[in-house]
Amino acid sequence: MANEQVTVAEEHRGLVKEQFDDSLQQYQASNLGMWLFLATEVLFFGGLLASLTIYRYQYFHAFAIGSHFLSVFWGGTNTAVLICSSLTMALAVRAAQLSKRKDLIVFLVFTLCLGILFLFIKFGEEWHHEYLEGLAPGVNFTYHGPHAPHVELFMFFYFALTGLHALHMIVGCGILITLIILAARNRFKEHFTPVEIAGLYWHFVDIVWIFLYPLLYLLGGRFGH
Amino acid sequence: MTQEAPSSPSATAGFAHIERKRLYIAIWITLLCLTALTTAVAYVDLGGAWNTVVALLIAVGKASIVVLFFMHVRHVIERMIRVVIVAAIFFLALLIIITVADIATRGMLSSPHWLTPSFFLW
Amino acid sequence: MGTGNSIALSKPGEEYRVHYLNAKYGIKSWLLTTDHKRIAWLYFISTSFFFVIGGLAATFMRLNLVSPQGALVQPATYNKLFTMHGTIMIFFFLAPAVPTVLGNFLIPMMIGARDVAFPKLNLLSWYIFITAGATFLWCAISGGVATGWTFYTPLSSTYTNTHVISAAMAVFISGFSSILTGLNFIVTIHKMRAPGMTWFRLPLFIWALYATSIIFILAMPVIAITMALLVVERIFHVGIFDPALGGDPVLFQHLFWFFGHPEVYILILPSLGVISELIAAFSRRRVFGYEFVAFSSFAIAFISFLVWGHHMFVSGQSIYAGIFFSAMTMAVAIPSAVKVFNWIATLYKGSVALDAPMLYALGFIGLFTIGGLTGLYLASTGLDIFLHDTYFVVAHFHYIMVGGAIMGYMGGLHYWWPKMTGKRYPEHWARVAALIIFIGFNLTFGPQFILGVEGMPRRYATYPPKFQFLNIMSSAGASILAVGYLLPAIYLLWSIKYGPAAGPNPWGAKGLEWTTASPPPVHNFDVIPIVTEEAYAYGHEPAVVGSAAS
Ligand SMILES: [Cu+2]
Repeated sequence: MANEQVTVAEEHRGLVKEQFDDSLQQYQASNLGMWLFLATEVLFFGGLLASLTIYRYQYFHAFAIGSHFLSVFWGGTNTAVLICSSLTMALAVRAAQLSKRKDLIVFLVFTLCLGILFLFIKFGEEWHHEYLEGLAPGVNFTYHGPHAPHVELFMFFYFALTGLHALHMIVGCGILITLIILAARNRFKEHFTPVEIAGLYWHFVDIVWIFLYPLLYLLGGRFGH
Repeated sequence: MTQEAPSSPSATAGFAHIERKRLYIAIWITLLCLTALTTAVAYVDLGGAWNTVVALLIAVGKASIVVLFFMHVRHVIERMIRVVIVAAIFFLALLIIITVADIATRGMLSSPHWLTPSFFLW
Repeated sequence: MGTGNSIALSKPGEEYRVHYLNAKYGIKSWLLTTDHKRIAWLYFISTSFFFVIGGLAATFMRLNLVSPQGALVQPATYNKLFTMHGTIMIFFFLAPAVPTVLGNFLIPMMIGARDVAFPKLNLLSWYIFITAGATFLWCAISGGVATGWTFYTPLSSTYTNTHVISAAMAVFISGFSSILTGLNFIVTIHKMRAPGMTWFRLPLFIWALYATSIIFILAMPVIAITMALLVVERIFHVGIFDPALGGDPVLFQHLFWFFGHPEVYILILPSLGVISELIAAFSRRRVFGYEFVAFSSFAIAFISFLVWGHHMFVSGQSIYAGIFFSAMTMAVAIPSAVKVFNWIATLYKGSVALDAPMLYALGFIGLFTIGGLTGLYLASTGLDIFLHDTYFVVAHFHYIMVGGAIMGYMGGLHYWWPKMTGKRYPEHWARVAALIIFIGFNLTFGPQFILGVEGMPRRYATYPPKFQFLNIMSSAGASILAVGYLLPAIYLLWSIKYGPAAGPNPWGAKGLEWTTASPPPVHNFDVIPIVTEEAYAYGHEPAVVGSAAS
């Protein structure tokens, strides 16, 4: 069986850590560990999402006003960018599973580029713009229209949620760079667990954005108020 | 080694299921279409809270697709992972629902009829 | 680690054997270790250090309360003292103590594994913990914080001038240490069990730690993000929680207690697990209703996420939320009572041996029951309005946290001490200490129930003279309690150097950890055991006290 060959190869090269019996146990443990970490992340973002929900429920109009300051074009573009990066990440994991080193490196580099593009749009285009517009709460907030305090609250949640998400993207990019270096050294030959774990993380960050996009940019509709 | 491995050995790498490339591409197109859809729907007034509901439903759909296919939960060996996912969503929902329920009922200061002692005593 | 060297030197007459303590020497071999047993020692030393600091703060508080005008410190200092006491005891002693010391040491051994699933992550958890602790000490040195361990807004976000940011950052960081520990434990229990170690053969301590780890995973991230929001609000003056800026202070309480109540069960659940082990070992019986005790840990963990609003009955929360939270709080008494009744049923007709660990266990049952039942008083919405923020609350949660959690920790520490060090401590001294702790504890916190009912509010440096007698009683009890804690510190340390060798199984107890040598070899077992019997299989063979295992 091909399976057993893989197992033997991994154990032979010292890729199974000494606390594990075999590579299957190691694979399952790593997977479960990553999923538990993602569960933690759900609740970590969850504190912010719960607060957002409550204030949105109470100050719906103010939040809609705030939402209209955001750029649907750039938000939507970034959503597409992240979805593309998820595809390339999934293909990278597939390449690792098949021990195709060249494909793996190519797809990882693609993913990294898309991640950097996302961050560039986020900070360079959006945040920069919103800061100049005087929409950065606590730093430069000059909006004095109706519901000003609660519009500021919305903008705070926008910056907090996208900022926390961007932080996860930056960590993800760091992981990708590490993977690329290791892949170049041929460390993932018949040993794809690290790539798969990193993939889970990357897809999770994508999912967070899938929710942030409608919750922040499309809040309550864009058809005027 | 593993019983879960599909019949053809070429479809597995050790113990993980390998999806076809075509499936990933199809998922990718679906996700892009749903993104376009959710953006488009935001410009239509569906009335009341329906815009929010539809946007969230689409987001849940997209997230489920990512989890099932890109994150391989469809073929995951470790069944506990599904429990972990459900638990995370459940406890997040708990936090949000109970807190919102508090805020929503905070103004109701007098008890409804069915909660007063006289209701139970007559 | 000074102790490493002294343990390793075997006395003449003892055969020389390589074990986890003498396999490597030097400070580096400790600070860079990935051995779960050595990491347990790192945690033992650091949490004990924080216990002393937190205890010192409590000492100053009790000294101050000897006189109605405050005998020792200014009210502002008193505020800092109780904040320091609460924060350190909860985040840096109680929450990590049992899971990271006893849990770290025992989980792999109890399930028959060579180590935890992620040993490097385990070490990383400790470093994160140390970073968090250092951050809090820095906060204390730079002037302290005076918000109470609950950091309520808008006091913490706007009004206090004390060092909230560093304190909140310390709590934020410590959350990640606990998360990683919980993650590690869950994966270890799932994937690293020895052949034959089925779920229903696991010791109940493992079940309890599993439930605790679930709470770590689900509750800790919420406090982390809440503390982060608090820091942001304080720095940038954005109105997240401050009503003057458009925020909602009750939302802070929701987020805080969504973590805060499960946190209480993080403190008590591991000790509940320890007690199950002690009761079984010292009455030589399988724990009565094993499955019920196991699942009651899960029930407690689950319900603990549904009760948080019982801290907010007087915070302006909706009355319907109050009714819901009150009912759920009553419900959590059921699984807790299941445990107590099953322990008592285990004791019944068991051959009970009153060794020191068992004394702690029996003390635990009584004190935990009192703490739990007074919790039901506070869970009643009407009665809570009267008792809220009085010394009744203080007494209640100290019966759970000191009378429960620390008694369990002390019992467990004595029970597994021979395994950890390979040495026995002087048994009669240990019994005396257990008795002193029990008496001192009740003298300290018993009077506080009465003070609370009479209306003395908590968190004040001064009080009306009519409360003085009971306060002096409480302070006297605290000094007895301090003696009770000092004794084990002395004789346990003494035993490391001078104690007689323990042998693999000094209690004649069941469980995989007792089948390996004391102290255990580096990878716990020379051969990974194959488990063929249930947990606590006493009675399959005549109970013989002394070393039975080979
Ligand atoms: Cu509580």
